Amino acid sequence: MLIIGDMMYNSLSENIKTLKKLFANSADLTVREMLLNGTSTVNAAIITIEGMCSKEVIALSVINPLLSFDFGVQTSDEIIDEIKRSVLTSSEIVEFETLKEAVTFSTSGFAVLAVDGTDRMLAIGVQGFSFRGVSEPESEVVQRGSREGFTEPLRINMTLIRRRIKSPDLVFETVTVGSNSNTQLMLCYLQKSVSPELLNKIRKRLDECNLNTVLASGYLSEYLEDSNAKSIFSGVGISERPDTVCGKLTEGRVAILVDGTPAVIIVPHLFVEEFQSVDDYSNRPYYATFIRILKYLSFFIAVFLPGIYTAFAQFHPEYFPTGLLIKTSESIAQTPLPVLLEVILITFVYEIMREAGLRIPKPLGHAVSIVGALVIGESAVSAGIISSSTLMVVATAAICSYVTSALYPPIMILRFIFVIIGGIFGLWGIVLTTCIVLINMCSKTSIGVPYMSSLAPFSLRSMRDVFIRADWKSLAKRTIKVQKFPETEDV
Amino acid sequence: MQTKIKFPSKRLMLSLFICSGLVILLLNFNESSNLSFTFNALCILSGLAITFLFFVPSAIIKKRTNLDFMSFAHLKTPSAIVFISAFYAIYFVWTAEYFLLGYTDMFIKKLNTEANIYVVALILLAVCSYAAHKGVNAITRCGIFIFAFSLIAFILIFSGNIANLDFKHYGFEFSGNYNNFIENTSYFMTTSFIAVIFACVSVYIKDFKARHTAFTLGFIALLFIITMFFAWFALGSYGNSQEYRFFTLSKSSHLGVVSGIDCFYLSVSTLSVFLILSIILCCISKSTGKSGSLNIILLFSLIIFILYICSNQFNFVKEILTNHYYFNAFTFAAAVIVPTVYLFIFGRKSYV
Repeated sequence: MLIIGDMMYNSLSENIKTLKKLFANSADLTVREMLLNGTSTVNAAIITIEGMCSKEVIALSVINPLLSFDFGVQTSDEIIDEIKRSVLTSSEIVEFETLKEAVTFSTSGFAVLAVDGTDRMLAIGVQGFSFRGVSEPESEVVQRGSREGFTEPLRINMTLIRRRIKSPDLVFETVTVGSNSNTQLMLCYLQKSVSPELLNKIRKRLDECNLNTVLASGYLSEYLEDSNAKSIFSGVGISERPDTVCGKLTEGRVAILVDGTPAVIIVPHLFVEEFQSVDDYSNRPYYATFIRILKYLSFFIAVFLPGIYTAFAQFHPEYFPTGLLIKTSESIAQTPLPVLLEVILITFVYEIMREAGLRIPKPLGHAVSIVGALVIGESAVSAGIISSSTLMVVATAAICSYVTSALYPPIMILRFIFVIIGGIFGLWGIVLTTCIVLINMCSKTSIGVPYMSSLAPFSLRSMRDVFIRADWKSLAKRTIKVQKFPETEDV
Repeated sequence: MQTKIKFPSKRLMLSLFICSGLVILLLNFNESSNLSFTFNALCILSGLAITFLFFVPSAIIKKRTNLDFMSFAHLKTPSAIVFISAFYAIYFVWTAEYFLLGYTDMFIKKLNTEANIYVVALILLAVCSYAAHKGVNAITRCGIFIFAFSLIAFILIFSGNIANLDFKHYGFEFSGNYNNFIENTSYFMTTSFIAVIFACVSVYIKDFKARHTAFTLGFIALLFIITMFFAWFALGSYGNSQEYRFFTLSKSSHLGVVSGIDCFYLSVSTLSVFLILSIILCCISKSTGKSGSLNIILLFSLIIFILYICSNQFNFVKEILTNHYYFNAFTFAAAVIVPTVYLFIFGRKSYV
């Protein structure tokens, strides 16, 4: 039985046989055998995974120098040393001696050079796989600021960060997760800003990750959450913008870059961060403050409006102002369904349309919009199936939920809960459900930092970047590190 | 689930401030019509001055040992702790009943006459049990949001009544007798239950300063006096004949075309009772020595609910539980007598 940590053999044919067996003769495993010139010829082989390396680079900087070099009278070990020292022109050459490393390097796009008569091998950096270029992330569009977003290859993402923080303080630390996928992660932090305890906690949690395959950042989120923090809100932030990540790093946070995905994990992640964006810091403070307040209001409208509307219409119509009460009651009286069912129905149909709009091919998206607008917006109201006031309330809440798009999942769930509770227990039920949500959020921590930090526990000093965005002169005076937030547990 | 992190004493005081708010929200005492606003304000100040004294024994223990009374008792008298725990558990069950009965009475009379009060009580206790399980730190953090909301609600209700103020028919003269003074003072003294909560959970707070307590009680007095002022001069004699005057105050307020903002009253009173019951359940689990234990919290929630059903079935039980004289006497024993006995027995030496 092959053990992946085994040492290599001295025989080239044995090594090739073992690797082929390990890859089960996979079609993309390529072995280019050759004879190295010298007094006595020596067998050698270049092992690559097809599509992961650049064929031109292999031909020009590996095969060509190897075949044209005269190795003279040398043992296999001396040949390896000679190749490393003076034959290859590649900038990245790593020597190794185990099967496991051979597999890791070849699957990462390195060319593995094996020479007969030695158990040492060389991994030569000739990566050349195709990938998507750096482009503006669609999920985090900004008006002013960089148009660059992360892309799939890890090294490019590292470069995007390094280009913004040109300091030796910035550290990238490699971690591998996934017993099958061997996905490479990069822990990225500023060594003078980050708390060592926080870093150790993150390392430990990644170490405890028992996944076989890691294909996206989301796979790791649950492993990074605090164990006592069961909540619909996430204590793990995601960003596709290098400037956002760099900003977070300066506050003592840790970014985790996952190979193969443009979504970078940022921990610890707090509730108030959902309302901050890069644009806030590019715009004038008064305007950024206005936008912040608008975002908070939108969040409350998105969560509470349909629930409060249902509660008022069903139990407390006296709370509507007189003019609105007349219009609303007329509108509701003409529809066959009770308000609760009506609101649930419209919200449900809206969610279906949204999901369909996300998944279907783009050319069909317009068709869905037209059907939605005509069938739901026009026909259903004119046929008297739903009331126009209910439709307006649900539509307003839906639009508001996109203002803080990262919070969409909890907003959607809470909206449904508040509609149902409001329809059954009225305003009283909404107040009590709010208490449950608040208690849940207040007890949640993100790597030991209270999730509701700045608000609860209240920090007056942090308020300059919560509801308001103070001017840069005062923000620059002191950056508040995440581990310095009040009531943070040992980080 | 109880966090090991200590939090500032200001925050516990903020939560206790909101808890006290419920006393004025559920204001429903029969008051003679010859009592003046000034007389009532004096009663408020007297009631809260006595409440301040209730804090003294447990504040001394906190200052000297950095422990709350309950932790101190567990440490010093482990063999007798079962009696102390039982005494405080009974006290907190009584306190929970006192406010639960008051709240559901208000709910059924003013907010929803068709509501099933047992369902209201059961759901409320279930939500509070969850909060108590999350611990006193989470509850006090939540208290910050409740405070912010209450502040907005109070400002709206008061500013909505400014136009109704009328000083022509009522002056600031002083009228009232000794019996009225005792009656009203004892009513406003019900806020002293916060001293017992402090005696139970103050181990979780750091940077304790006596002035925080004084400020808190000062603000409670201010809130009560402002509420009384508006109830007196905005509602007039109509207000005197009404039950739950603050509800009437919120009903009569109008901001432009929007009038009758009693939904704020409903919200604030519900949030306050939620905070009180949650902290009380925390205190119960603390007094049994198993902080945050869900089983203990659920058991006592069940006991509170059963007692609640009994008190609604048997009127004499309800009368005993909602009698503020008995309640104040019990509070005096829990906040002053027992901690003072401990202070005397264990003297000044070797506290920890």
